[in-house]
Amino acid sequence: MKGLILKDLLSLKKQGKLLLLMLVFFVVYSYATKNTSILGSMLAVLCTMLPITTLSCDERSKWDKFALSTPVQRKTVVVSKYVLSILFNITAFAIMTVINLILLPYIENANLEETVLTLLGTCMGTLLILAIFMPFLFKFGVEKSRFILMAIYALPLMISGLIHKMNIPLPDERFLKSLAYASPVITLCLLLISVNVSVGIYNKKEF
Amino acid sequence: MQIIISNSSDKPIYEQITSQIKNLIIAGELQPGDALPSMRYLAKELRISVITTKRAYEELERDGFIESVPGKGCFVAMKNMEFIREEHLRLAEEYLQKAVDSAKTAGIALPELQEILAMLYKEEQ
Amino acid sequence: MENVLEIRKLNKRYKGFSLSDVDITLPSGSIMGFIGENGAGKTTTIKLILNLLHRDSGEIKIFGKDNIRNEKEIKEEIGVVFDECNFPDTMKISEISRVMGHIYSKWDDNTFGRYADKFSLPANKEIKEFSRGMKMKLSIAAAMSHGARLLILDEATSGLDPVVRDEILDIFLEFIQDERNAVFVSTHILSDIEKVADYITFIHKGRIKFSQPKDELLENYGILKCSYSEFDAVDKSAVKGYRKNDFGVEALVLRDQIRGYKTIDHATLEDIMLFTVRGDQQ
Repeated sequence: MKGLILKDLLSLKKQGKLLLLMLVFFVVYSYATKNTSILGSMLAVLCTMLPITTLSCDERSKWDKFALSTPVQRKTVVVSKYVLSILFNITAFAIMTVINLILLPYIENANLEETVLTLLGTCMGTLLILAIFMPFLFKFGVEKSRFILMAIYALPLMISGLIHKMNIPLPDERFLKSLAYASPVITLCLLLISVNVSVGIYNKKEF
Repeated sequence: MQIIISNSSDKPIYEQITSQIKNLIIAGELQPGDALPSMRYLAKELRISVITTKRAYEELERDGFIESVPGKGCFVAMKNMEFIREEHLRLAEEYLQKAVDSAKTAGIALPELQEILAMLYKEEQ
Repeated sequence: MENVLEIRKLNKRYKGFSLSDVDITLPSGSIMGFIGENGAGKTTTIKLILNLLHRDSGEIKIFGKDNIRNEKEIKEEIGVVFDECNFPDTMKISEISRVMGHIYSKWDDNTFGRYADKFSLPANKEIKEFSRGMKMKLSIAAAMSHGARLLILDEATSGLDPVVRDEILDIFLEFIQDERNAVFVSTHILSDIEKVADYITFIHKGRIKFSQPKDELLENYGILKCSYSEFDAVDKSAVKGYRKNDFGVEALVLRDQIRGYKTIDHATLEDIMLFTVRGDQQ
């Protein structure tokens, strides 16, 4: 598995540089607007993009065909993508938290707990989206799955829109907070289910 | 030791190898006890199949020209070369006898037969 | 010496195509050319050997072990080269070596380095800047740097110039100097196979037409050229395919079943393949 993750990291070199540039830009932007919320959204978008980028790169170079002719097992290929995604997420979360800490004195309405919990929520949200999305990626490939991804992104927006329209009262702050604290556990369970589904799909796949 | 094979000859490649090595041995260029190149190495150098060289070596061994020592390779046989030459001479005489019988049956005269023999002999070279 | 590859009654059905009862035996220390037209089933067979596709029935043994039950340990000793380079194109060869080191337990960076030098592969360029020939050489270098005993190539040399192909043939010959090794190469380039293969397996429409030592094949077959009337007189069991033109007949025949002093030319592998496939259509 180390080899696969290493390969993915190395193949993302170019994107890595771009990412860094964007990060710097947004940090400056946050400082300038005295609002770090954009960092959280950036985190979410990037973290869903990266695993997709690696899978897309694999498809282009027909890497899977080759990888499966080596001693690497199908299960390992699948699990490595999940591990990579989780690593990205956690790293991004850590970086964002640190940046927020640094920018804290310059931000209006700064509430550390709230910020960190929001970041955590975003992080878990992203992992949740991946948990739902990854099996589709393994089953249908990157191109065909793009639509599904858009739908999955649209879903929370639609739900929140619906809630708003129907004037359903939002759960209170305490509930949200405990949800946020519990989210890693919930997400982990869902990820485990997702991995198993993906492995099942990948095992049956023909190359 | 030089071995030259031709892809366009009518003679199968293994036979070309066999006769060339036989000639080398009879001519004394290969002495009893000399090591032959391994079948695989010869195949690689001549860029032919190992099965071909194996067949050539097997025939050479069958005819008593070489012997294979397990684990060591193939060597020119210690046998008496004269004896082998005698053996082939006897066979040639036998075949020629058949040709003579055949010719006589069809009323073919000696000069014509000799002409054919000369032509065939030259073809082999 | 055991057989490196043994395939028995392999079957795989698709809509519109099926691989039927494929039997192949590859003895160790030999090179087998796997030939057939496009769509005959060569790549399907290879993918089944590597378990990239799931077989419907049959048995595949590599180094005497079942290819599914012992998949992981077998694949340590198989070097595979496909028709394209499968590495991400932003990588460099040093990076590839690092990755492969984690994939194969017997990966030898020194061997890889030696092949890279031998093939003059640029150390500091990304793969996307390599020519097709270089990419192939890279794949071959990788396949030969982890202690593989079986080399499998799937149309890996099409599109390469004769010089590069010749270098690759030399590599095969060197590879089988060790009797425990074997090479299984599927290709369209019959002239290459004709030079160095020990065995030829011909697959046509999903079935094995023949699998024999190359020498036997080339010795047994010949091209008979004769008139229509002469052709009618020939024993048809000796004819494996024929072509009639306005001035006569060309037929692929088994030499020793043709009596009489007729002109029988050498048959090349290409002849054998063409007559077997197109001769079908008469």
